[in-house]
Amino acid sequence: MTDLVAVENLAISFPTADGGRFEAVRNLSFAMGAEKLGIVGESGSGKSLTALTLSGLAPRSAIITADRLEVDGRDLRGFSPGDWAAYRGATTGLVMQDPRSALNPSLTIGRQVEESLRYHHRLPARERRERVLAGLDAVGLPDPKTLVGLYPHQLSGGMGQRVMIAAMLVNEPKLLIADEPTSALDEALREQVLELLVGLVESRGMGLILISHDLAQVARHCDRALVMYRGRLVDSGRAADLPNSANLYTSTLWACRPSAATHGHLLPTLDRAAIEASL
Amino acid sequence: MNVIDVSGLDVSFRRGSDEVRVVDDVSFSVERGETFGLVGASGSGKSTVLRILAGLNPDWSGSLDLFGEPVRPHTRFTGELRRRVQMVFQHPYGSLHPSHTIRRILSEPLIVHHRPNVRERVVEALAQVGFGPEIADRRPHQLSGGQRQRIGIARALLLDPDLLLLDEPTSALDTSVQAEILNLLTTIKQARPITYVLVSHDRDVIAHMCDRQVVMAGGRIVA
Repeated sequence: MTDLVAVENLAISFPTADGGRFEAVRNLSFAMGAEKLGIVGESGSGKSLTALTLSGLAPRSAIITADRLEVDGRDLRGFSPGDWAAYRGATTGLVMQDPRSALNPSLTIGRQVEESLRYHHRLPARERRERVLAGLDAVGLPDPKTLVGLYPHQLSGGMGQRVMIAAMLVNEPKLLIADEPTSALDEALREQVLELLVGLVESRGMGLILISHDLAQVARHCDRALVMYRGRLVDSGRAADLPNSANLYTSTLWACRPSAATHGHLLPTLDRAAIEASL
Repeated sequence: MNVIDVSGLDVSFRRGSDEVRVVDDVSFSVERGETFGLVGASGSGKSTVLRILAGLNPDWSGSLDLFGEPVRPHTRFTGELRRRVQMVFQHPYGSLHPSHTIRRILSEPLIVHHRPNVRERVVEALAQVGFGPEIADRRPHQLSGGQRQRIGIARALLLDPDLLLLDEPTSALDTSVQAEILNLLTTIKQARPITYVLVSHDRDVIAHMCDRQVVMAGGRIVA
């Protein structure tokens, strides 16, 4: 069986003002099938940039090299703008952090959810509408028929995020990339939205890349996890084993989370010098 | 002695002909030296309550005592109250002047309050949050989010406040950096008598930091 995603020796760098290079991601290799892969790390670890690169949305100034960069058997290196347009939304869907900025404020919900159907298929209007309504229903939104006529500002954050998930799934892509899909939501909604996302991915046999700074979230919902630190892969394994990792960076990230159990105590903090030395 | 006594606090504003009540009959007290938590979802009214305690929102009704003295609505904080109550904001980038050096940002409150030995006090304040004096020549954009928040805390502590109001101080930060800031707040409190009111949507942060807490929803205290 071929891998759904195969990345070998991916490096992403940016030219700096003094003529040098800033290496944002280096020597990154991983492969995945139709499974749920979490990528965790602090801000600046390169996890989001990796996700954007797989969607062809890395900044234009990014210099991207890889020995292998494949999704669903297609080599993403040397993709033309037309290739990317045909690939995005059809092979992969990207769910972004904040529905308030990712949804177009001037288009109705119905128009935005059907956009990728319009783009990738020629379907009769009635069938398109039915698929949009079914998609909104699948993400647990009430009264899809009314919803399609509403605008993003009329929805709450949790509803907006469900709309975005519906828009990404309507075309049944093979890989869903979710970049911090719940961090703009209130705590109470986070689990709900993530359970929905995971349930839909599983029932459709898709692959999921979940980018998150929240190790506990990845441990609960993913099969495997990659841990990145300053552009490098420093740890990987079963997501459920994240709490028991022997890696200094992973174990500190796990243990530094506050809770009622840590009340009155100082939290462990990262010994960055020791981590740098171990790289 | 209680540092804060709030009773029947209401805040509302007009939207067209409707009156929208964003804080509804809120009452609580905070003892000296406590860390008190206000937890709730966005829109629950918790930040509005904190801004009233900071004197940033004078349009309220009800009763409010700070340090045993009544505070009247529709008035600005004056005199010692302006020193004794300080606030740390969620986004330090928005609350630190972008074109001023850290030295100037930290000197200003001292100059305004006619404190002597400004240079030495700034160096001390930086040391207290774990910085060497060399960082004083930098500007906010040259610092990371966690470093900026430490500057925000240093500034709030400069005038030796008795009450520190913390509005989501770590929610814009990585968990690893959050741990450093929470530890800093814990260590500061061990070294001096100070009262904290911490607002957060994150129950884990509240549970870690607070001696007591109330939960707000829809402008009311619900638990």
